[in-house]
Amino acid sequence: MTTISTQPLKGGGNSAMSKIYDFVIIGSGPAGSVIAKRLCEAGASCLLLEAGQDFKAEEYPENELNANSRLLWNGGMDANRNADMLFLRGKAVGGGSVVNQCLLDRFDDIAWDSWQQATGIDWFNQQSMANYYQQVESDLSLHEMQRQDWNRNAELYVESFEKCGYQWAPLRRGQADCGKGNDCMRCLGGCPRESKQSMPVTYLRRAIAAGLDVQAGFEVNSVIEGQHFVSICGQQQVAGTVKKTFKSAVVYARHCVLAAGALGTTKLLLNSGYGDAVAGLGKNFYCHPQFMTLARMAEVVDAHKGAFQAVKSNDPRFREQGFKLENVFAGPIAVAMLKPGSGKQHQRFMQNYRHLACMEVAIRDVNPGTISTGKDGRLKIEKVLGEEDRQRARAGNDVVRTLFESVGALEILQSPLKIGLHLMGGCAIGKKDAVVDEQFQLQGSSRLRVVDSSIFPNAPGINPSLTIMALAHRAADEILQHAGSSLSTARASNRVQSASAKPSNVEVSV
Amino acid sequence: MKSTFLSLRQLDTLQRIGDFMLPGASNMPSFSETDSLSFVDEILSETPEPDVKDLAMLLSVLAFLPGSVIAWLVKLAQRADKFPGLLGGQLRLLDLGLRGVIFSLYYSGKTGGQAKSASPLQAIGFELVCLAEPSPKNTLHENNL
Ligand SMILES: Cc1cc2nc3c(=O)[nH]c(=O)nc-3n(C[C@H](O)[C@H](O)[C@H](O)COP(=O)(O)OP(=O)(O)OC[C@H]3O[C@@H](n4cnc5c(N)ncnc54)[C@H](O)[C@@H]3O)c2cc1C
Repeated sequence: MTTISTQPLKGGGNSAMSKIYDFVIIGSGPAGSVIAKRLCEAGASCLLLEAGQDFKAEEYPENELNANSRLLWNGGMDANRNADMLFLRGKAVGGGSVVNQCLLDRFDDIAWDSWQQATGIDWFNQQSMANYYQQVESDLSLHEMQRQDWNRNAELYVESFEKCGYQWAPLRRGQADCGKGNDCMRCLGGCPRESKQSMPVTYLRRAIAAGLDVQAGFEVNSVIEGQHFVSICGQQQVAGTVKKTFKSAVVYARHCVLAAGALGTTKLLLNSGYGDAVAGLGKNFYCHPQFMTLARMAEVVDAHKGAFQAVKSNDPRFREQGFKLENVFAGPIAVAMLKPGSGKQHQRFMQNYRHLACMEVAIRDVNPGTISTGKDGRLKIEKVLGEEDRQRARAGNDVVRTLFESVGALEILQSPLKIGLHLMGGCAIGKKDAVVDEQFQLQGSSRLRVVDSSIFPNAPGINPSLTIMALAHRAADEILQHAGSSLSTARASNRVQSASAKPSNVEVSV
Repeated sequence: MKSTFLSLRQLDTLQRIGDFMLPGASNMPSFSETDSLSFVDEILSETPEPDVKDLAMLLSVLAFLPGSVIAWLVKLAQRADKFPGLLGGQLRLLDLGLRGVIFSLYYSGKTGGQAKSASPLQAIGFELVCLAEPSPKNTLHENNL
């Protein structure tokens, strides 16, 4: 068994610098962790590289400020070019699974049909994916939220739905034992109880037990495909300084699996020079834009206490109109950001924090965005709402207003800030001329596979993680079938053989 | 107050902007009363270097402006929606950046050594409870291993 390291991996012949791994996996979110587990259990030698830090359960930040700054890329302030939409993505060992709500839903026929239509891939259907879904569902501990789990925010949600004649359903969440009296909003900054079924307590733990090497604090900048192996170049964070310092590093693998998320993988491929060769790279970016509404109630709601989310909309009319309504809330910093402006009036509003109820509209966006990188290699995200998207948002926001009015809200604030939590696309999968083919192989490449949320061809309108993990299982089958017996033969000649194949401008070590 | 990333003058400007944005109301303290600015490095140490440089430069420029001009600029940024295209985008970025830093510090509930008030989270009555020790049921859960 190997441990997670933020320091250069140590140990004689086993050190990452002297070794050619069967696979280097970039990114430790749901996709990367599932792949890592499957490949390691099949006997492959694997190294997982993660830009974020590794936290033990008890080390997750308690404070919203520290959670944002330490666990999210750019403190959660990645914005589109117009700066009216923020994109949140996890940056830690475990990726988005550390900061997400772990709501796990299967896609419905509407989502699969639209994927099949967009890509021509015939296994995009419930039946073909059922086995993969089952695999994940049996690997994780799932809990259907019960009546006794509801906090007052959930009660108001259900009360308003029933008054207005809309359908709702209990949520299904990946959690083991959240105990009694705990406030699960805390686990948006990492679950200190190891209850939330994030990757570090599930797939990653098993992958490490099966021999996975993990290098945290390693941000990959480019991948270079050679004839016999792939060079993966990046920056390893040097521990122990307030001002972060990095040193260049390279690792080698016969194959590289990209699982850095929609923004991470797309950025990496663009910065590796694939933009010209692979048409479509950076296109088709979706994010289920979310619109939060806060309602001030006469009573104390304490929406931050207890189970954070317990119920969801389940109304076919909403699905048809392209939106869903979430039973959510946010910490004080996020709520302050949602309310525009500042000053005394803003502070008085915040004083009512405990009286706030909240709902959110998440739309199934149809107008794709684009991801590109500047000369400095930094991300540039072009994402605007099309007329159809705006119509969906309006329809959802109107329903939310009616719902809150039905339960006697004193004041209703619909925030102008749009938030994207489900980042999808950029490397869309498809049959012909797609960025990634149906074996998850990057177009024109024999050594690079893409397995994460970047392969989504469009927005499903449903929580994506369960499907990301199910697709990663399928990708693992493809990879292992392709690798066949070469895994064990390859391991015999594990050392870097050709110095000339190494890029010359970087230090060759990890 | 010391910062690895900002000079004293830049910190002072940020404090002034903070007090303009959060002057204190009913039992909510002003920004400077919380001394939450002393935690600014906890944000900046995780912020990409070019963004830290941009913030430092902005604060250096604002340092020379009278309070009324800074207040006007902050308000202008908060009305970014009134401006179309690139200008609107730049103003929104400014608004996001400034409110992001100031609100994060203030509503983190952290109070520095020079604080003259209780934390705003106390004033709000915000508290999160989560039994920190992983329950044995979780660590031993067959699905967690
Ligand atoms: C607050 C929040 C709540 C959410 N709630 C839910 C929910 O309830 N249900 C649901 O289904 N989905 C939810 N999501 C979305 C879900 O978490 C993501 O869709 C999912 O994590 C994406 O998985 P992924 O493996 O594709 O990428 P990620 O989880 O983003 O993992 C990618 C990893 O790669 C790393 N990385 C990126 N670039 C590099 C690089 N260059 N070098 C090295 N490492 C790199 C990142 O740091 C990250 O750890 C939520 C997201 C957020 C932010």
